[in-house]
Parts: sequence; structure tokens; C-alpha cells
Amino acid sequence: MKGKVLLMLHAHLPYVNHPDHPYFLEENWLFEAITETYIPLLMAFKRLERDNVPFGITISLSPPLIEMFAEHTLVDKYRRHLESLIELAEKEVDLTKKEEAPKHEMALKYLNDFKEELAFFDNYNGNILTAFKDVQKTGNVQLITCNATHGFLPLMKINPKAVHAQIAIGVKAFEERMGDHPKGMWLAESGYYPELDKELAIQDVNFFFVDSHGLWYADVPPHYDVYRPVITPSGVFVFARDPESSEQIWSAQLGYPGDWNYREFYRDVGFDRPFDYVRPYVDPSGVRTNTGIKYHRITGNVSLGDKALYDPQKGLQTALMHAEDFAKKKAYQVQKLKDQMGIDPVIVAPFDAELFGHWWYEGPNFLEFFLRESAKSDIFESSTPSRVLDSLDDVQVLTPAKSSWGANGYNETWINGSNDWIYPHLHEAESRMSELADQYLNASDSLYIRALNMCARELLLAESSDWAFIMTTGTSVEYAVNRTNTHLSRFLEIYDAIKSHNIDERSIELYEWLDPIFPYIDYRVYA
Amino acid sequence: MKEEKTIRQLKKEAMLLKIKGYYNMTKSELAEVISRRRMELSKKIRELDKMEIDELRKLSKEFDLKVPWKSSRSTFVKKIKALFENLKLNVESEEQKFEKNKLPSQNVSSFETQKAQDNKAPEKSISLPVSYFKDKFCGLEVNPNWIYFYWDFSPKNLEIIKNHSNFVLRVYDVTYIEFNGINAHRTFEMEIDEKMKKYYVFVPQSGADYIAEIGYKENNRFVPLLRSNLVSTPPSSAKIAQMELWMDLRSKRKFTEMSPSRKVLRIEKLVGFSSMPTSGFKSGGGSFFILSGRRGS
Repeated sequence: MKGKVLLMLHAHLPYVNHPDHPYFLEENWLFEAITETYIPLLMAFKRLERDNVPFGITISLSPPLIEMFAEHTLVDKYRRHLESLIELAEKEVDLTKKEEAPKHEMALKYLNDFKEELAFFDNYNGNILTAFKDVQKTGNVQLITCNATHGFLPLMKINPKAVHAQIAIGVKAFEERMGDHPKGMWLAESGYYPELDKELAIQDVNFFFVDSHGLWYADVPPHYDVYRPVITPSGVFVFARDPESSEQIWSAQLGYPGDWNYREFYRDVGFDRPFDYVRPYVDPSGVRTNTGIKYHRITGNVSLGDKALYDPQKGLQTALMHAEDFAKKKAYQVQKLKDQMGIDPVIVAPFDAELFGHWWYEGPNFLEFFLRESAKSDIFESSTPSRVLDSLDDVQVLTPAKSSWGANGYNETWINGSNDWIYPHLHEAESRMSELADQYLNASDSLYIRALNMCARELLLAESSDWAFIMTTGTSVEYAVNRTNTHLSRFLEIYDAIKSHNIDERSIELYEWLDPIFPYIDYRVYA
Repeated sequence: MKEEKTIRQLKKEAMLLKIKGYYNMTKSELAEVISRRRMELSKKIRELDKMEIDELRKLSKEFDLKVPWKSSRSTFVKKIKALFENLKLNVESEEQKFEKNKLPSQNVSSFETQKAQDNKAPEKSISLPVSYFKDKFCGLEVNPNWIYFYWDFSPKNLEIIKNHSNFVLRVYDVTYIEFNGINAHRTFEMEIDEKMKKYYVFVPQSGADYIAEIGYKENNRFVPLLRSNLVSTPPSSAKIAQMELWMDLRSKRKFTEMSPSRKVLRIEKLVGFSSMPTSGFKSGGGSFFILSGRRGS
């Protein structure tokens, strides 16, 4: 038998949908991720299947992402966005004829890639979810869900019903949109605390992931360290992160994405070309933004102005070299662990999906090359959680420790001086939501039901861990603060309206239009 | 009387003074933290000449001063002094500071008036209530050694507070205990400003259970007003166990095994320096800031 390497890509973006604006800067997060990460990954999986390469990879699709993929106004906006990108690429092809040859070659590549992506997108009638369903058919790609709006559960624990709702709606969203029960769940930020597994058991979720120290500091030390799954007393399997794999890829000194041959993220024609020329492709308010067309490579420790031109062949060769190196390191690690353990190790390597393609341009190529390399190995194979669990005879029973994959391993990214003000409000709203659900458990008036469901949506949107995270990191802070304030104050407004029997149908209608997330929601989940 | 600053000006000032979390503060909160910060910094100026080099380095880092690590004491002191002069820190008299400290709380008596004043600032069009006027005392673990507490009072308790002083926060270590108010393993206490409505506290034990109380001291007697939820700090080291529990997945039977010696040799990260670093830990509101992003991202 071979050792197993489980790549787990966590695909998530906060729910950003502004149907009341023809253009909204933060909606580009989704558009860029579709163009640079999701479609390139899907295309790579299709190529692997076309070539009959056996592989295994796990992708957690967060419910906000699933809901954005299903939202028509966003899908239409994305199509227009991609069309205008193609238009820009065409101009670039023209313009670069008179510039350096590598630039022109790269412009042609962008034009070609964008056109292929548009064809891919149209082939699925603009439904990215169908494309994901398509690649999971063979079992090579395993799709799992995430808790409802990516709320950070260790800081929500004080309101168990709010945690219950996050888990239940996370499962429900996947079932509604993917037509299938999710076997596994990625807990937002890998945030776990003892007892949380009981909620997963109630929802019939078979497995989840924790960070390494979740197992290291468990109630009983793990027999095989983080290299075999375990099961909690409530019967849910747990996979733990291998610290070596993430370090090999991301380490500041030794990591792959910083290679000088790779494309530079921060040099973009949105900033390099004359303003009148790029104006139609950047923020209409007149602020320069990234367009996605970039001509330079990382080059070295030089200033942005001194970056050399990117050579796509060299970039690709480097990705291949890194994939081979990573496969070699995995083979060595598996062999070493197998000698120590006397049993096949299971190596779990989780990553944010958007880092592949969006930040690390060659990332999807790297993954494809790595999966092809793995298929040739006699020592290990890439696999999925369900395949690993099917092959298991016995398993250690233990309760993991409180942990997250955030900086320093606990909660400080989501609670510190920059964002702690949100918790008194979130907790108050959570307890008020349960109060409403209890009081209106048997409501039959459709306007009350709509108002109660909208309350639940506002609360869920306010709970996204993304807002606290953004406040900590310090970019787009104003947007995160506004979103938190907006959803919480709408929640309080509707709560007051319900309590005073003074619900304004027009404002409920407006909020339903502004945030149509989870149309199938049932507020009774909070009772 | 001194002219009042707009919320925009206050925010800018807070930013220059490197005050964390100023984005969402109300006008009165801003004025308060700014005056506190100014007082704290002017105290620092007076101590600058006596400060250890490590403290100077930390201070210059806090203000993003690009002073090379190996610079001499005097370079650090000079640069920091220049910066503080720029911030007009030592120019203000104590009276002015006092006045600024007093002004907001006198002018802004309720949430409503606050809102009216803030209306001019477009970025702050939505305000959340400053209080829900309910008794609430909540503890959230930040990491193995820090707990964040926040609280809110009902009108009844607010009335009691008005007539008392000497507020304290007590933290009890109640690991494996059915707490009855007097049987804690250890009891910790600190004086607090109950108007802060939040504090970060340092607790010595990871993987332990804590309960806190907030109250006041009267004739050396502690009178609790609110008790918190149970807060369990996450463990930061491996447990020792004699037995392992296993499950046979075919028969669904559980069986135990004596813990054998560890299979996988794990080498943990060692942290060290050539000299003992000065500790940055201090209990109390606002002194806690460890900020960074997701691991690996």
C-alpha cells in the first residue's frame, strides 16, 4: 500500500453582492478568483481526467461562495467583467506589437486564456457549480462544505444555538445547491473546540479538519501524531494538518511562490498604462485598480519599477520543477514516517484555494504537475478523505484540543484591539435571534416569516469571520466595518419591527433583494 | 473654551498616535482614548532618558520609526523625541489635557445626541447602540494565556455603580471545581475602570477553567455585581496518558491499549535569543495587540 497525500483547498470569499450598484469594487474579489483560481483549477482537473491520470483532491466550497455562484446578477456582472477583460487584452495585443517581444507574447497568452475561460464559462451556462459537480463525478475531486457564513465558531460558543445554525445551514446550503449531502466540513479558520464535533454528528457530517496542535494537545496524545485520522467520541473523523507541507510551500525563505521566475502580483497594467487608456477597466470612481494583466516577474529583491519582464515558458518550467521537488519531498516524508509508524501515513495539506492562481499565478499549474507526478509514484498517492476512511480498519478515539489555523494557533486574529467591539453586538444579536425563533416557532403569517428569515440572514452575514480578519490585517477595513454595522443595524431594526408588530413589507423586500443569500433558510433553526 | 474637533480630525489623530481599533470608536470614545494615550506618552517622554535600549526599540517600532536595530541609545532617544515633538505631545499643559478628558463625557450624555453630532461625518452613518442596558459579563479566550472580558449593565446595576467606587475584576481558577464562590484554586484581582466595558487579562494557566466576577470594594469587602460564563483557556502542551482508546471500524467495538512509546519523533520549534527579551505582557485594556494574518497566507 502507498502513503496518502491529501491536498485540501479551502475555497471561500465573503458574500459580497451589491445589486444596487452597477459596479462595486469589492465584487472584484469574486471575479478575480473565478478568472484566476476557480476556472483554471477546474480546467486542470478536466485535463487530468482527459488523460486518465488518477488523482485525489478535496475542495471545500464555502456556502457564501456557493450562493454567489448561484446569484444571477453576480453571474451577469462576471460575464461582463470577463468580456471587458478580453477587450483590454485585445488592446494590449495591439499595443505590445511595438513593445518588447516577451510582453507581446504574454498579451497573446492573456487574450487566449481569457477567451478559453469565457468559452468554459458559457459551456456551463455561467454556472460554476455545475462545473464543480462535473469534476466530482469521477471521485477524484471530493467536494465538502463549510459552516454557513464562515463564522469563527470558538468565539460564538457562548451561544450554542448560533453555532448549531452555522453548522446546519452550512450542510443545508450544500444540499440545496449541489444536490448532495456533504460528507465533510471545513470549519472556518479550522476553528475547533471540544463538543463542536457533536454538532457535526447531528448533521451527519462524517469528517472535519483541525490544525496540528488540535491533535498534539488532545485529551490523549495521538498514537501516530498528525499522520492518521482519528475519531471523536461522538463518531466524527478528524484529519489534522501536516506542518511540513505548508511550510515547504509557503515558507518566506524556502517557499515556492517567491521564486524569481514567477509572475509579479503587484505590477499591473491598471497602474502602468496611461490613465485614459485603462479608465474603462478600473474603478469608475477614477481609482486605479488591478486588471489582472501583468507583464513582470518577481525578479529579486528589487523595487517594483526595476522588475524584469515575465517569461511564461520559464514560469511554467519553474512550476514543474517545484512540483517535482514537492513530490520528492512527499515521497521522502512518507517513507520516513512509514518506517517509524509501521503503517501508511496520511499527510494532510490544507491551503486557501485563492492563493493558487490569484496570488501565485503558476499555482494551478504547480498543482496539476504535482498530481501528475504523484500518479507516477510507487511510494505515495494523492487521495481524498472518503477514500482514506474507506480503507481504515481501526482508529484512535480522542477529543482534539481547542485550536485554529490562525496566527499563533488560537483566536487572536479574530479578537484583538482592532475588532473586539463586534462581539458584544454579535452575541446580543445571536441571543435575540433565538428569542425570536422560540417566540415565533409556530408563526404562520408570511410577512412575519419573511422578516424572521431576513433577521437570520442579517445575523449570519454579520458573523462572517472575514470582517474581523480584515480589521486585523488593515486593508479594506472601512468596508468590513461597514458590512458589520450594516447587517447588525438591519438586524436590530427588523427585530424591533417584529417585536412591535410594525413590520414594513417594503423594507423587508428591499433587504431580501440586497442580500438574497440562502433563499431556503428557515429561522426555526435558531429555536 | 477649547474648540471641539470633528470625528475625522479625532480619527486622524488616533491614527497618528497608533491607537488600535480607532476606526469604529464613537466621538466620545475617541476623545477619551486619545487623551489617555497622550497622557501615557507624555509620561514616556519624561522617562525616555532612563529607558532600556529594548524599550526604546519597541517604542520606535510601535511608531514605525525606521531606526536601525543596532543604533545607539542616543539615536533612538533623539528620533523618538523628534517624533513626539511633531505630535505636539509635550507642548500641551496638564490643564488642557484635563479639560479634553472631561469635555466629551459632559457633552455627550446619550447615544442620541452622539448620533446627531456624528451625522456630519459621512463614513459614520450607521451607529450601533453603545449599550443594550442589560446585565452581561462575557469572557472569551484569546489564546492559552489571555482572556478578553466585556460587560454591560442593566439600569438597576448602573444605579448601584453610581453610588460606589473601587471597581475590581476578579478571576477564579476553577479547573475541575464546582465553583461556589470561595473554593477556587487561585483568585486574581485587579482594579478596573468599569466604564471601559472591556479588558484583556493575563492568566497564568493554559488548559484551565476560569470564572470571573465584576464588582466593587466596600470596607475591604468584595461585592460582586456580575459573574461571567466559564472560560476555558486552550491547552498549550501535550497531555500524558496511560491508555489509548481505539475503535474497530468493522465491528464498531471499542478497545483500549496501553500507550506505547511515541511512534513519530516530532521536533518542536525552539525559540531563543542571546539575551533575555523584556516581556511585553501587561494586563489591562488596550495594551494587547498581537496582530498578524492567517498562517501561511
